[in-house]
Amino acid sequence: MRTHLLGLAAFVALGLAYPVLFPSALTIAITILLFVGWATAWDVLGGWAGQVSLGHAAFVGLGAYFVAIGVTEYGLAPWWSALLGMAVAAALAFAWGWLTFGLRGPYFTLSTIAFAEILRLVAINEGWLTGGATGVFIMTLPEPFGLDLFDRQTQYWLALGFAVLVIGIVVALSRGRFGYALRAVREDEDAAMAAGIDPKRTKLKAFMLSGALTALGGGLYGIVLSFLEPHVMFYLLLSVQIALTAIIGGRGTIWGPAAGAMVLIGSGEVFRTTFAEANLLIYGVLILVIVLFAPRGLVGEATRRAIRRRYAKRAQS
Amino acid sequence: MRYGIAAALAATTLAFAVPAQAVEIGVVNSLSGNFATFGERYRTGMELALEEINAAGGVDGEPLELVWQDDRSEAQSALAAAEQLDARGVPLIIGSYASSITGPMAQFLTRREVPLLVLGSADNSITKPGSEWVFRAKHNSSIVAKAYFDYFDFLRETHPDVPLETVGFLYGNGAWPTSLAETGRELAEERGYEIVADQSYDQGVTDFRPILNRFRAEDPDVLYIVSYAEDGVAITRQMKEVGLDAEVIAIDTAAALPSFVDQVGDLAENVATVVSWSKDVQYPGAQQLYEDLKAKAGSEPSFYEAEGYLALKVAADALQRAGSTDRAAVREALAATDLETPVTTVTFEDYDGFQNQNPIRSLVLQIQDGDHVTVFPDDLAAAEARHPTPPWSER
Amino acid sequence: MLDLAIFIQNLANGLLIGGVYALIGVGLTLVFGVMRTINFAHGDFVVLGMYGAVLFDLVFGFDPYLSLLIALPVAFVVGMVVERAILAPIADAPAESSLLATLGLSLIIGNLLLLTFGGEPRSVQVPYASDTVRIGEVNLSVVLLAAGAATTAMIGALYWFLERTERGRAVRATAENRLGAELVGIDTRRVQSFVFGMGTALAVTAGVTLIPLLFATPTFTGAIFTLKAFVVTVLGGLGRVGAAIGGGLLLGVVEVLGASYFLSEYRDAYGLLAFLLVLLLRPEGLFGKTVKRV
Repeated sequence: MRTHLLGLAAFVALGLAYPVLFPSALTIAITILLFVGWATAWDVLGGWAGQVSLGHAAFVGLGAYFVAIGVTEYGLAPWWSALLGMAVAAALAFAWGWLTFGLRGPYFTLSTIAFAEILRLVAINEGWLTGGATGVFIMTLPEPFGLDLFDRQTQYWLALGFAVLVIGIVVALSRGRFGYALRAVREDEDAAMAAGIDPKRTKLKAFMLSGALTALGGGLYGIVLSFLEPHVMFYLLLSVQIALTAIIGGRGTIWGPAAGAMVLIGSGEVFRTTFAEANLLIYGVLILVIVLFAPRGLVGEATRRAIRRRYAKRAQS
Repeated sequence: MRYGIAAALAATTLAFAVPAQAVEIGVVNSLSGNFATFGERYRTGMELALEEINAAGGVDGEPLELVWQDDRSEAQSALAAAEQLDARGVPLIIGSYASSITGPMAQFLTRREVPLLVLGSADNSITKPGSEWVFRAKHNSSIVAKAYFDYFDFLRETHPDVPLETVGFLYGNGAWPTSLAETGRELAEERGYEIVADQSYDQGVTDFRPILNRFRAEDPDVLYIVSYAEDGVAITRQMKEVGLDAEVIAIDTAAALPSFVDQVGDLAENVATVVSWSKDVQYPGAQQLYEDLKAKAGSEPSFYEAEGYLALKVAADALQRAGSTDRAAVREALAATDLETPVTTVTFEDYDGFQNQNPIRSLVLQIQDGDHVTVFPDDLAAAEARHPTPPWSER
Repeated sequence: MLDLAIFIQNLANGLLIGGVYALIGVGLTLVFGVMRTINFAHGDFVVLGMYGAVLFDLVFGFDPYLSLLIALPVAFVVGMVVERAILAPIADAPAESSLLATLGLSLIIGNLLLLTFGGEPRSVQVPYASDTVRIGEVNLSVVLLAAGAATTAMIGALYWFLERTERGRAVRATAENRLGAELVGIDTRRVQSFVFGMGTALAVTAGVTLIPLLFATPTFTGAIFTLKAFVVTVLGGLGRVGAAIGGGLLLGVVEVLGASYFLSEYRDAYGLLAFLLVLLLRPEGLFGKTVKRV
């Protein structure tokens, strides 16, 4: 626990220093922080509860659209509509989990793809609700305490707050009753049941938490883009990217998803500016290399090595 | 120590910065990802314009340089690119293709007060309501839809014996097709065309038979189709297959590409399409531009190359007149643009809710004997429109 | 509006398109059955077949179907190599590793194609692209019929292989029970790379068959086919060849009839809804026998 709190403190310190060091590269930092939050939130379900979702873009889109439509159609302040979006995301996750958690193996994963795709088609075709295929602009936002929400600096602090919040929740959970229940369910559902844990209930809670947090980040993403199109918001590749980030970083480890986001999104930006045309290709190769040589994910592998070393030392002495 | 790191980083950023005595323009373009095809074409056009500009002495006697940034066909990367270019101090940015990328960029650059010259996006929403920092020299959905209906009206007048009363809309569910269908619908009602069929489809599905069979039952006189390349080819082939006839067949975007004719062959005959520029348009210099673009591209150029060329010409002209690289001055100069190019004439105007939009004259091309021929408007036409389109059974 | 001739026309089109979906789904389901790997690059192999035919057309100018003579063996070998190099080493790793690896593979294939061919949609223009055969009131597209014929031939050959040959039996045994198969002396590692080769070859065949019909784009088309293949296999029941065929035909019919008689803009949603309903009500698939508990 203490190591994790120290880690969180270090993360915050890094976050505070970044804008001073790179004042003109905030967009990429915001993207990384959003992915830190999304991947960590994904991991609550995918890593801790062991249910791989490839439909998390649905929650991103949901959060973004609640904020955008709330502001443009109903004059609702973004923080209220983000909360509303989180509530709806949690409700959808509940309904979805209720229906599908009876399924095991790859079925749940495949159903999440279909879930996000259907939401995408609805967002495109129901223009009265979402502005339709031509998209929605967010032109004006309220200014709480004189803060300009369109300003990259402000957005950076919000993104940092989002990432820290999600990691903080996971750190708190990891030592709580719920965290243990999740791991028990992941390892062996039947044994968990014997220990008095309701696996379905536990997984449902994880899904709801994961969905709601992802939607919160989605709301922020909407403000950063300030122009939403359904093709972009509910994009299958975004779902895939969120899952990839967490898995490469290391599922079920507290810092894995965050590390994954920093390495993948960070290197993607380096490739964008240096290799230009070949960047997505290199991204693919990188993923393959990581899978082949560090299959537990970056952090998972590092932890394993550290533990081994500790045991080896102990055996020597 | 911390300052040491900061200084080192600042130095690396600055190492990229302005080499003495060159005027820079930032370009955010899709060079990888889904829109790379279009990005390549825009690049060809801009490179040609750059050569011409520098051969003629550059801007104010200083060489012009383009700072390229790839947006990977996605908004987040485009925003990061725009932020970098802003920090580098470029006086003006040109970009990008898809409206899902240009939209967020326009919002961001407006807040940062950097002039943005739209490269490819034609969605109305980019300049309506727009902002004082966003300029578009090419067309938008309203202009294109109006060109189609002006053409239909023109055919009505010149061929009173062929009734054009009903219209069918078929379009992909992307931003551009949807917005072109929406504006088309308004015009149809305004000008007394009855909409007898109206269907959209999810892009990537290339079996249109069910939809085309429905259309055949409604038998529209005019087919107003908005599709990207691959869908347009599939639709044309399957139209013949199911025997869907119409007096006028208009296919936006897809039919404008030279490859369309290669891919559907004879079926392409008489298909009409609207573009901002064509090789046979009666503007001075258009023929020369066509030859140069063809040499530069090494293949048949399209209006995409021309639009890239146009964007850079407009930008260089504004920089020249601004006489400085101060962004506000460049914005002023852009707003005062009055330029004739082999692509089109450019002025930026506020009208009908648009801001800084060039009220460009769009051209209607018809495919005649395997070639794109300008047939409308009358004074720019290279040949007469062939009308009505014969049914498939008689071809 | 429910004209019988048009209905039959739509049904026939749905079945023919469903046949191609089936061909794509069969490859995916075969690989899943034997290796428990959901291959995210499956659609990209289809696209690879399409580009192979395009290249063949550019170089030789023959009918794309002839390119199968080269494409089939090449695809088979490529599939085997990919399995040996990428999937076999992580066979014992957590299940998501193979999913991740195939995702990476999908990104690599798509972007390599983008670098070689550019992003412009490619197709092969055949002289019979819009020709139809008239049977009674029904017009059938020649290209679709050819695709149907190729699908039938491929699936027939696959059945013959699985049912009648020694190696086919080994494949079935491995799918049924890997440990049991190993106990009776089957080299399941070899079976796995063999099956991945077959899956790749099936995908490539589907691609070649489809190229006169539709277009290939390097990064976009693959994802669409992968998704279709998922729907097809889940509709029928994962891991079963016969079920994938049923699922493919069903998807084709559901999509075409949905687009014909309801809202065409929700065409893809019909397939997905059917997919979800099946997942929820009969997770073993419409044509599966028992629930597989993992």
